[in-house]
Amino acid sequence: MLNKFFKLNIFLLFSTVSLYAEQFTESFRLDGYANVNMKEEKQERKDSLKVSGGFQGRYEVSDNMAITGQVHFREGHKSNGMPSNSLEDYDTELKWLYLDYYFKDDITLRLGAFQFPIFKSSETGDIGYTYTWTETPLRFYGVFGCDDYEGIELLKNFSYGDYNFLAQFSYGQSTNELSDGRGTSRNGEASDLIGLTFKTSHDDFLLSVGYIQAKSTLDIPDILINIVDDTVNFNMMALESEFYLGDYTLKSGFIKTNLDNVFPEDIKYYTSLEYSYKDITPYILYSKEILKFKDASRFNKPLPVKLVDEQYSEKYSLGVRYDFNENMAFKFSYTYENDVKKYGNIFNNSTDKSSNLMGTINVIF
Amino acid sequence: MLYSKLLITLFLSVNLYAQHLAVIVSKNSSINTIEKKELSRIFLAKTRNFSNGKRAVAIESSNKEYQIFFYNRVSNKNKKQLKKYWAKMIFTGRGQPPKKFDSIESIMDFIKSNNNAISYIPFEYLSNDIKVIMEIK
Repeated sequence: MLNKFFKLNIFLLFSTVSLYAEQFTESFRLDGYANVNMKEEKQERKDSLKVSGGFQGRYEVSDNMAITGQVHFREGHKSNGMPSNSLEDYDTELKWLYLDYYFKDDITLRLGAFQFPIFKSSETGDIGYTYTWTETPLRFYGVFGCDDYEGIELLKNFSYGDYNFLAQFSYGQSTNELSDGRGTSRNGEASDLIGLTFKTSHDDFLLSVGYIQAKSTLDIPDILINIVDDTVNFNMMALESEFYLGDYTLKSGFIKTNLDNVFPEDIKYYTSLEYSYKDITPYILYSKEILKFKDASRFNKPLPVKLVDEQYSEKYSLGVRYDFNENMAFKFSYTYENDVKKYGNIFNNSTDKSSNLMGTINVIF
Repeated sequence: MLYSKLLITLFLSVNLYAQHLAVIVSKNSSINTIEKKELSRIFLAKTRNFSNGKRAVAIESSNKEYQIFFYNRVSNKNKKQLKKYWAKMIFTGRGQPPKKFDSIESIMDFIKSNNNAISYIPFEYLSNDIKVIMEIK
């Protein structure tokens, strides 16, 4: 029902846009971006090249109304499921499509399809130019939460003294695939999604906090149906900060996601220090992702023992960004990764070490 | 010799333009003065309104020299920081940069005909039919 409502609105919006076609060029703005990512995995002796990009168009229907759409292109998959760089296999995804209505007092009502608002790196993760690193440490929400949704947002901008604030309320649903943030996704949907975000900024810092909850319904294989609850509550809390100390920038983030079933709780955090010298920005980055496995007996499910206690992955990155010109940045990084599984008292812990070199070219136009 | 004199004159004139900007509104605007913080918030799309609640429409010259000088003085942002800032703002739908005009004359025309408009221009282009609400040195 909600979907039909949004599709109808979007149709009406495009109809309105076409009615005002003669003013189109004056009120229309088109922006684009492109990324080339090259990665060499040292241990597996594996190279990869990924090319992605997209366009965003914004049309100002009137002084207090605008419509925005963003299309993202990325490498797709062959029919056998293997990644493919072939143009004919490329995936096209409508990432954003929404209507903004501006009320007085800097209140904006937004209606359509969005990315989650909590993290800057989630919102702009596809646009490499907007961040310093070769890849974002916290982009996905994990444990089968959703990265995007359709719904409404209410935004309020205000200031107090030298401080700027943004408060945002979100409500909607997601019918896309739900992702665990580690490359696995399942069919499912998130409904009754409610989100609250609060951001504050000053000359010296930026702080962002957010909370989202939803009812998550997953397609569970028959074999697991008695073990995993398929419709459960999903919740996420996040905190992100940036401090500007002269030419240095310290960035940190924390995110925790959880489903009220036997799936593990997912905790991620990072901290990064950058130094800006003219067009060169070297950085160091540390990030950690932890999966905390639950005791299945809590959920009255027939799992005899908890095999893995905890699983975590630590990454240490050293990199540099070079701003070639106003529209293009080159980045290079070396990352060392440490994957650990803790089996409690049953087995010895297992550790898997790896490293990679990564180079990217990021363009906006 | 002639070329070097020409180059020096050109260099000095560009610097003179960039060292003295006037923030302007329409003669009929209710805005008479503005603080730097408010000016910064308007030009960085952090607000759509003046402090008196009236809608603010920021426009600017496409001349990079003026822009660099203005944002450096008003928002404490350099060219690189500004580009990253707008990339984030645009692609997250949080705001759009001010509309750009190729000539100072077209900025003046827009300001004269729009009571909500605000812009900045070099002092030497000032005329009596617009109002200066702030000086940026």
